[in-house]
Amino acid sequence: MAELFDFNKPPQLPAGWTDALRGAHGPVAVRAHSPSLLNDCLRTAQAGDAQLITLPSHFHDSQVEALVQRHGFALVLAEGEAVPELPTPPAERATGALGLFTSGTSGEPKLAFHRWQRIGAPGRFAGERLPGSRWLMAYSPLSYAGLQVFFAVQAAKGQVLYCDGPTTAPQAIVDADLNVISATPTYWRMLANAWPTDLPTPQLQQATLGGERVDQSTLDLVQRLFSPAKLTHIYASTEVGSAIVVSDGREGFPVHMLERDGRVGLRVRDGQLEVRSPYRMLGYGAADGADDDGDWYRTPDLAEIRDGRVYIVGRSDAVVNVGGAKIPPEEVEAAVNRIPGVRDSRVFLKRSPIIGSLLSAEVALEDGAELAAAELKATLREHLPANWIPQYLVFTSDITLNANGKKSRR
Amino acid sequence: MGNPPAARARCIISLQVAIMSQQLLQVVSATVNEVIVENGGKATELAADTDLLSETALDSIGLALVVVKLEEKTGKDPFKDGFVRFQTLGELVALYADG
Repeated sequence: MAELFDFNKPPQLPAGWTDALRGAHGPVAVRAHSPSLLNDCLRTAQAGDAQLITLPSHFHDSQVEALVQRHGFALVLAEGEAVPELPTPPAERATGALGLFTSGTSGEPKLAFHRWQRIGAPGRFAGERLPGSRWLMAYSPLSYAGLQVFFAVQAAKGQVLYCDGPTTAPQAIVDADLNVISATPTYWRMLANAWPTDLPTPQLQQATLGGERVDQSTLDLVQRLFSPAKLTHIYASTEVGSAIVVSDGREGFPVHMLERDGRVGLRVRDGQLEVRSPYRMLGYGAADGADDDGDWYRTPDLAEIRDGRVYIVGRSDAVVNVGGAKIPPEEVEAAVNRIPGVRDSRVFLKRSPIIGSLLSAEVALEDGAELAAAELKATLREHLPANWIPQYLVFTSDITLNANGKKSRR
Repeated sequence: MGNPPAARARCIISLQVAIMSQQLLQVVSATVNEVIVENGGKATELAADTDLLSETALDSIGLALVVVKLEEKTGKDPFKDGFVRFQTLGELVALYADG
């Protein structure tokens, strides 16, 4: 079911929630499923400069319980449940901040705190340029990217549409007359695939790609299908915030951005991207340890400079190790996706008793396309080193994504 | 006089095992060739005593893929408790017959 949220309506909260969300009783954790309730919690806590911790709705009960234990949240508000006994506020007011959990593609989710002013700024810049705009929420609403959409629509005094997924999105997008879509490249490819040939595409003021490595073929696809007035792609992460915004329609970013002495500093050290940014998080929650990287935050993203451009070629922690060879799954996926007939792919590791891990891939073909495993591998052999070729191929209609819309490597 | 009943039963069982092994041998050889062809090689004549790594175009990665495919086809994972040595096609077949 699609749901449209209007930022011109005042917040509507269950009885007893408003004071707690304004921080009158100390830090407050919220677990809400409905987008409107979640947005109203964010708006209220932001206005009161409270310390709000958001518990993603896709976390299981036991996971939430463990996190509440681990971080010692004194007050947890849950949708549909009675307001618990309100704790006596601590003598010192908690730092006004928004706590969100990192996606945790590898390992346990970590709690990252951001000052409201800072986390809201990049989205606010985007929203102020597009007053009254109507956006699609294609990210997990409590991810860093999803929150940027929230702040953008708030600044635009616009509307945001929530729908179930890319397959049912096209009609809902047209019905709500949306004019801005920001989504992961994977979401865009699925949306393009689901778009009915007889349904006109909307007039987009802006199309944005983010939350995942952005490749040229997906940028071209979005340009071809939607011809947005503005096409941008963003490099951001929960820890470092929004760091790079590119609007020239090309993969990567121009090398002069590395030298620029602006609000955000960028550099490549030992093949890894480092960022100095005012949008960086305040820090992890006390239970998750310090973030002691100094001024420059060393991202896990591998960067390569070619022909005056910086390309993100994968993540150092996503690089998969097969028999000692370090392989960037995104590059393998990009090569698979360039093969005619392939819509999307996901590279993952399959445990193997013979060699430890076997490089594998899920492959989704375009409707009506036919491609045998032998053919696909033969094409890849022309473009990739032998040990980069996924061995075990699973042909599927839809690529498996985790709860944050990203590709799992397991 | 024929065989005593118990011996006859054993004989029938070993005959069934032989038939099953024959089918398994075919499944495993077909899978080995499937992987060889998928990886750009030519299908070859295989026998029970063919050494998989030295006498075919398979490498260890290809062999790993054979094992994944065999698990899909037979529903058996003879390596679930750790690696088991095998060299020839026949030895690999035996692992799936036992499990």
